[in-house]
Amino acid sequence: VGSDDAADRPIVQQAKPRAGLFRKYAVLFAALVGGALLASGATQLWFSYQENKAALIAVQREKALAAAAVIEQFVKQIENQIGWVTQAAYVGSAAISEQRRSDFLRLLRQAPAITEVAHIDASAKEQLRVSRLSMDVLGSQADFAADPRFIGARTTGAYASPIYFRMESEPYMSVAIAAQRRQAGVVVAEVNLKLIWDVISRIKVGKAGHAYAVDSRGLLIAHPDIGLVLRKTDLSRLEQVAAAKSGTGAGGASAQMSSGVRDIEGHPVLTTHAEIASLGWYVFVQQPLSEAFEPLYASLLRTSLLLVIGLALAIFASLLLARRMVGPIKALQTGAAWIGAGEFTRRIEVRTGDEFEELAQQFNRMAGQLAELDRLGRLRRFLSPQVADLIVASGGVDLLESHRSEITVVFCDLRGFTAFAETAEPEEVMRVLREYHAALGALIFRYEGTLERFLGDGLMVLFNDPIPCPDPAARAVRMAVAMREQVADLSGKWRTHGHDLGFGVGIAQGYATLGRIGFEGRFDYGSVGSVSNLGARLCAEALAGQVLISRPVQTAVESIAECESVGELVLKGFHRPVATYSVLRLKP
Amino acid sequence: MKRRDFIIVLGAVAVGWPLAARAQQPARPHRIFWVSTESQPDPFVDGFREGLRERGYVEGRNFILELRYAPGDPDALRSVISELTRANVALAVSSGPAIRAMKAATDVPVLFAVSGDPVELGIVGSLARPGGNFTGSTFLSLEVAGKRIELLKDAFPHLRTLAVLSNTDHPGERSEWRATQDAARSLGIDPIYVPFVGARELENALAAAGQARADAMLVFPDGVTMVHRAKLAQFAIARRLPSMFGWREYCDAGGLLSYGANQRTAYVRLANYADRILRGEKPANLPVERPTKFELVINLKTAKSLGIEIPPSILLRADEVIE
Repeated sequence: VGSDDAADRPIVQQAKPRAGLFRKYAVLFAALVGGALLASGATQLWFSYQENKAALIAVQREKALAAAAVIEQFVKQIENQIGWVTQAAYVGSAAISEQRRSDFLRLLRQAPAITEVAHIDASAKEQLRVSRLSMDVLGSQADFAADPRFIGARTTGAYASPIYFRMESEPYMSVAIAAQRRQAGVVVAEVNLKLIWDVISRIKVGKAGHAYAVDSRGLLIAHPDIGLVLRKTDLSRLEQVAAAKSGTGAGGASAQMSSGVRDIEGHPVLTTHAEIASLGWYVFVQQPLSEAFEPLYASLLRTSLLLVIGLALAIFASLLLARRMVGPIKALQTGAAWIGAGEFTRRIEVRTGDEFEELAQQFNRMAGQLAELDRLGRLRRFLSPQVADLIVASGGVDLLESHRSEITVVFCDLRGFTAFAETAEPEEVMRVLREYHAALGALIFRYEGTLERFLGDGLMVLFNDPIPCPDPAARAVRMAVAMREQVADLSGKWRTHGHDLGFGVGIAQGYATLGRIGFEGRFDYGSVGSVSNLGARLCAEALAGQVLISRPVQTAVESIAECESVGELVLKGFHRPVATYSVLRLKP
Repeated sequence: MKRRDFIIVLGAVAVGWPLAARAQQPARPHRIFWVSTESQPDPFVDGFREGLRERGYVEGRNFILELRYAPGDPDALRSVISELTRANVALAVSSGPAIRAMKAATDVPVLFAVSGDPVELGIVGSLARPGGNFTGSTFLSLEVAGKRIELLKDAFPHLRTLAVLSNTDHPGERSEWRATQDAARSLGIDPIYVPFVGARELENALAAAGQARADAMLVFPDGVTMVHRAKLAQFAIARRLPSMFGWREYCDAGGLLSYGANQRTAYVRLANYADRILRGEKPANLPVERPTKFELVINLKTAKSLGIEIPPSILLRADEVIE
C-alpha cells in the first residue's frame, strides 16, 4: 500500500548564489542613483564654473576699464593743465617771455609730473624752456620745424609722443599742445610717467591683484612695483600683451582666460585689459588665478562635497533597498526549500506591504494546497482515480478521519493458488498475479470501489466509503460478476499452461468503523467490524466460480441479479448460521 | 539657493590662502648697519626708521639698527667693512659720502643715498640695472647745480660775484664745480671758487670766502658741509651774505635758500628697498631711484636778519617757507 517517501527526496540546498542577487541589486541601485547624481552634479559643476568664470571676467573687465579711465584721466589732466598755459593771452612784447615763464613755473608747481616745458613759436623756433632740473633757457631759437612734437600738435591740436626712457630708466612722454590762436605756437612738455605710480598703485584688484599699463610696443609704463618700470621692462612677449596688441577686443576690453596666461614672474593669472585708444596704451588688471578662482574653487568644492555625500547616501540606500528586495526573496527561497523537503506545514512571513507580501501569501496558500495534495496523494493509493478526484473536488480530506458507516465489502481470491505458488516457478507466479491484478484492478476502478487492501491473490474492496454511493450492494455484485467472467477467461488461458486456478468471491453488507490505521510514516485506510469478517468468511466458503452474498446484499440486488439460496452456513466467528446466497447471473 | 545653504551647513570648507605676513617675524631680528658721515641727531636715519615702521617692522623685534657714525670723515668708516664681513649683517645702509668707504663691501647688500651719479662712482652698472650688491637713491645734485644759481639770480637780480664753497673730497665735486661755473657765466655771474678738503680746512675756507667780497654764497651739498651746516649758515648771516644750499636741512639750520630733492623722503623710500632685500630680493635687480620732486625752501627769518626782501616771484615758487 502507500508509502511516504518524502524523507527520501533530496532537500534543495544548492551552492549559495544568493550573495550575487544582493550585490547585483545593490550595484544596480547605486549605479542608477549615483549615475543620476553624478550627471546632475557634473552639469551643475560645469555651469557653475562657466557662470563664475563669466562673472569674474565681467568684474575684471570693469576694473580694467576703470583703471584705464584713471590713467587716461591722469594724462588728460596734464594735457588740460598745459592747455591752460597755451590759452593765456599775453600783452606787451618785452614782458611776454617773463609772463610766460611765470606761467610755466606755475604749471610745474601744479603738475608734478611735468619735468620740463617749452614754448615753440609759430615759426617753429623755441622761445622759452623752463625745467625743474636744468636752467631755464630763453630764446634759444632751436628749430622744431621737423620735430614730430611740433608737427603733431600743429596737425591734431594735441600730440602725445611715444614713450621714451631718460637715462634708460625713467619713462617719459612728450605732450605738445597747440594754442588755439595759430600764431601763439605750441607748448611742449616732458612728462615723467613715473608719477602714474601714484594712481596705479592705488588700484586694488582683490588681495594680490594689481593693474599695470604698457605702451603700444609692450614697454611697461606703470606698475605698482616702480622698479619694474625703471628697469624698462619689455612685456611684449607676454601672451596677454601680444593678444591685446594684435587687436583682440580692440576698442574695448577683452579677457584671456586660457590657463596658459602668466604674469612677468610666470605665475598663472586671470587678466583682462582695456585699451586707452587716445594714447595707444593698454591697461591690464590681473589677479593670481588661485585668488581669482577662490570663490569658484569654493563652489566647486561645495558641489563635489554634495556629490560625495549624495553618492554615500545613494550607496547606503541601495544596500537598504537591495536588502529589502532580497530579504523576501530569501524567505521565499527558504519556503521553497521547506516544500522541497516535504514540510508543507511551515509558512513564510513577509511583511513588506507590497507585491512581495502578496507573493509570500500566495506562496503560503500554495504550500497549503500542496499539503492537501500530499494528503490526497495518499488517498489515491486506496481509492479509485474517480473517487480520489471526487474527494479532491469536494475537498473532503476529513474522510480519512475515523468514522462509522454502512459499507459493502467484497472479498475475493483464487482457489488452488497456494498449491500453484508452491509448485510453479516464482516468475510464473508473478506473471499470473500481474494478469490477475491488472484485470481486477481495472474493474475496481470502473465500479468505483475502494481497494482496501490486497495480499497475494486476496483482495478486499469497499463500497459506500469513503465516498457514499446510492447502490453499494448492486455495484459490488456487478463488479463481482464481471470479475468472475474476467477470471474465467484468464483461467482458460492459465489452464493451457497447466495451472488449475478457480475464483471465489464473498460479499457482505453492514456497519463498520473506518479510518486511518497504522503509524506515522505508514498509514492505511482500514475498516473494523464484523461485516469485513463476514465478507472474508463467505469468500472462504465460496467454491471456484461462486459469488456468495449475505442476506442484506441479496435483498438489495434482488432486482438486478438472479440468486439462489445455498442455505444457512455455520461460519467461524459467527455463533448463528448465516443465510447465504449465490449469485447466478445478472438480470438482463 | 537652498541646496547651497545646505552644503554650507554641512560644513563646506572655505578655501582660503593665508595672507603671507607682510612683515616677517624672524626668530632673530635682522641686523642692519647704518653707516653715515652725518652727525647726530640725524634726520635721515629717522626717515629710514619711519619707512620701516610703515612696512610693519618693529625695531628690536624685526630689526636692529647698528649705527656707525664718522661725522664728515668717510675714511674713518673703513673699519666698518671688516665688521660687516665678520658680523652677521643682513643689510648695510650708506648715507651720503659714507659710500666712499662702503664701496669696498662685496657680499653684504648695500643701500646708498648719494647726491652724485652712482654709475660714475662705479657702484652700479646702470640706474635701471645696478647689477651688483649696491642699489639705492641718487639726488641728482649735479643736474640741479645750475638751477641753484638761476634761483639765486632770480632772487637777487643784482648778483655779480658768488663765493662757491666746495669740499673737493666729495665724489663728483669736479663735475659739480664745472656745471656751476658754466651756469654762473651764462648768467653773468663771476664764481669765486673756495675749495677745501675735509672738515679741518673748513675754517680756512670760511676765512677765504669772507675775503672774497662776494654778493652771495653757494655751498655744495656734502657730508662735511651738512655736518657743519649751522656754522655755515651763521657765517653767511654774520657776513650778510645771501646763501644757497642743496638741501632743506641747511635752511632749517639758518641757511637762506635751498633747492634740491627732499632727502628725508628718499630715506623713507629707501626702507621699501630694505624691506624687499630683507625678503630676499637682490639689489642687482632693484633700479636706482631718482627723485621727481625738487623743493625750493626759503628761510624768511634769515632773510629778515639779513635785511633783504625776497621777490614775490620766488616766494610763489617756494615749496616751503620757514618763518
